[in-house]
Amino acid sequence: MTFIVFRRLTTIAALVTFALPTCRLAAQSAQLSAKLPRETALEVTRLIDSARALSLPTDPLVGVALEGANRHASAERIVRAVRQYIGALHSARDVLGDGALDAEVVSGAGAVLAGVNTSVLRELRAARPKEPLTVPLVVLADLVARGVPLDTASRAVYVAARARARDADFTLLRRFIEQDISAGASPAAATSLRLRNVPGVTPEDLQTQLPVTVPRRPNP
Amino acid sequence: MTRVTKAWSFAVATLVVATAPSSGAQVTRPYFDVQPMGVAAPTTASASLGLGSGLFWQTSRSAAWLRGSAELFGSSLAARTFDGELRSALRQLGPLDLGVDSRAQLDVPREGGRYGLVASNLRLGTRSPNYGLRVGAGALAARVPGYAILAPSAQIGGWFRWLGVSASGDFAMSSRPGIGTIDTVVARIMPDTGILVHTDSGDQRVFNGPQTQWIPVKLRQSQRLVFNEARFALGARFYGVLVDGTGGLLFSENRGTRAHAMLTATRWITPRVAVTAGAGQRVIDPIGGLTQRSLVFGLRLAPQRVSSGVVDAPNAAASQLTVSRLGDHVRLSLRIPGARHVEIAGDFTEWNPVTLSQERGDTWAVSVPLAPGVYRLNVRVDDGAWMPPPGVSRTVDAYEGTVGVLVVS
Repeated sequence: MTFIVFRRLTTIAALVTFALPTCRLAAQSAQLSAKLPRETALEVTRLIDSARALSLPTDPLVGVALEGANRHASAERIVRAVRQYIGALHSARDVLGDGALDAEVVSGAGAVLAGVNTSVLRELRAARPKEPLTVPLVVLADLVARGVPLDTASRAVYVAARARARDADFTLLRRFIEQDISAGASPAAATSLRLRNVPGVTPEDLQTQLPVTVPRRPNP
Repeated sequence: MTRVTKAWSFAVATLVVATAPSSGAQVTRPYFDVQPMGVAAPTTASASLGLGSGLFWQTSRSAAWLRGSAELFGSSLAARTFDGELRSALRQLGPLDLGVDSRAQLDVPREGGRYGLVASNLRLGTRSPNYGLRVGAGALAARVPGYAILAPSAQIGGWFRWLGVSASGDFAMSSRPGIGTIDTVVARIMPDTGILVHTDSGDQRVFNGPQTQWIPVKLRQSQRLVFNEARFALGARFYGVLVDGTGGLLFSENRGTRAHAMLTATRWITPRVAVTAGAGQRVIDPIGGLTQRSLVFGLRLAPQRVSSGVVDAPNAAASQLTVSRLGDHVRLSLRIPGARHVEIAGDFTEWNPVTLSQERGDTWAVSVPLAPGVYRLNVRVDDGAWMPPPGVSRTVDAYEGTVGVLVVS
C-alpha cells in the first residue's frame, strides 16, 4: 500500500516537474507568436531556449521582444535586443554568482545594458554579500539613465552598499537625486550631495574609491 | 483692410501618414505626425480642391505644430496658407515656470501680396496641478501687402483642468502708433462665387468671376495699428471621443470685433487609426481679419494615439506611483489631476496597453497579478507619449528609449 502511494506521488511529482516548464514554454511561445512575425518569433524562441539552457531567467526576454513589438521595432532590432539582453543576463549571472536571485540577475543585466562595468557588480556583491542587490542595481541603472556619469554613479552605490544602506535608503537616495536634477542641479553634483545624507555613510566613506577603475566613457 | 465672406469650404483630410523613429514612440524623443489632407469647396458653380499637410511634434517639454495648405480652384492655385505654433518650457524659477510661446501665420493669395504674422512671447506662469496663470511679453511682426510693422506685445492668460476637461485662454495685446499709409491691400478672390468685400472706409463691393482685385485703402499717417486678440481652447473626452475646441475674438480699431471658433472631434477606432470631423470658422489672416467657414473630415493613421494638444497647458503632473499588495495582486495607483485617460503597459501586460480605472478624485488605479520580481513598465496620459511612471526607477532599454523599472517584493 505504502509502495503504491509512493509510486503515485513520484509520478505526480515527475509530471509536475516536466509539465510546468512545458506549459510555460508553450505560453511564452504563444505570446511571441501573437505579437511577432512568424520568423521573428521562431528566432526569439530559439534564443530564449538557449537562455533557458543556461538557467537564465526567460520572462524578461519575452518582455523585451514584446516591448519591441509594441514600439514597432524591426524584426532585426528585436532579435538583436533579445541577444544583447541574454548577453547581459549571462554576464550578470557570472559576476553575481550561481546563487544569485533571478531578480538580482535581471537588475544586474539592466545595469550592464546601461553601461555599468561587470567589475562594479562584482565589487557590489563583495560589499553586500548577504543581502540582495536588486534595489541597488536598479538604482545604479536609474542614475546612469538620468545622466549621472558612470564612475560617479558606480562609486555612490558602492559607498552606500559598503555603509550597509538598506533598500529603502537606496530608494530615497534615488528619489532625492531625481528631485535635485529636476530642479536644475547637475546629475553628478546631485549624486555627490545626496550621498552624504545616506544613513551610515561617514565623511571617510565619501573618500572611498572603487577598487576597480570605471572607464570614463559617456553614458549610453 | 479687407474681409471676404460667403466662402464655404469643405476640408477633407484624406490621409494622415505618421512617422516616428524606427523604434516607435519613445519617451524622451520627439515624435512626428504628418497629415496630408485634401480640401474640397463646393460653390454655386464649381468645386475647389486643395492639398495640405500638417506636422505635429512633441517632447515632454515642448509641443509644436505646423500646417500648410494650397487651395486649387479649377486648375489654378488660389491661395497658400501656412500656420504654426511652438510652445516650450525653458526652466523652472522657484514656483514659476519660464517658457516661450511663438506662432506664425502666412496667407499667400494667388492675386499677390502676403498677409503674415509672427508673434513670440516670453512667458512666466504659476505651477500647480489643476490651474495656472501666466503673463508674457514679446514682439509681434505683421505684414500686409506693401507694409510691414514690428510692435511690442503683451499677453495674459491661464489654464485649468477639472473633471477631465482642460481649457486655456489668453488675451494678447499689441499696439503701435503712426504706422503710416498702406497703399494697397488685396482681396482674396473666390472664382464663380459671390464675394463680399469690406473696406475700412465702409464700402462694400461684390465681385463675380475669376478676377484679380486690388483694392486701395488709405490709412491716415497718424493711425494706430491695434491688434488685440483673445484665444480660447478646450479639450475633453466624451464616451471615447476626443473633442477639441478653439476659438477667439479679434479686436481692431478699424474693423471692430470678429469672432471665430472651430470644433473638432477625434475617435480612435484602433490604436493607430482615428477618424476626425470638425466644423467652424478658422482664421486665415489674423491681421486682415480674414476668416473662412470650413468643415473638416479626416482619417488619421499614426504610430500611437496622440492628442491634438490645442489646449495651452503644461502636461498633467502625476503623483508618485503607489504600489500596494492585495493578496496575489498588486495595486498600482497614480494621482493625475485633470487626466482623461491613463494607460499602462509593461512586462506583466505583455506590453499591451491596459486602461486604468478612475477612482475617487483624480486617482487612477489598476490591479494586476504580480509575483515578486523586477518588471519594466511605462504609462501614458491622455494619449500622450509613453513614459516611465513618476516615482519609479528608470533605465535605458534596448530600443533607445527609457522604461520604468518596478521592483515588487
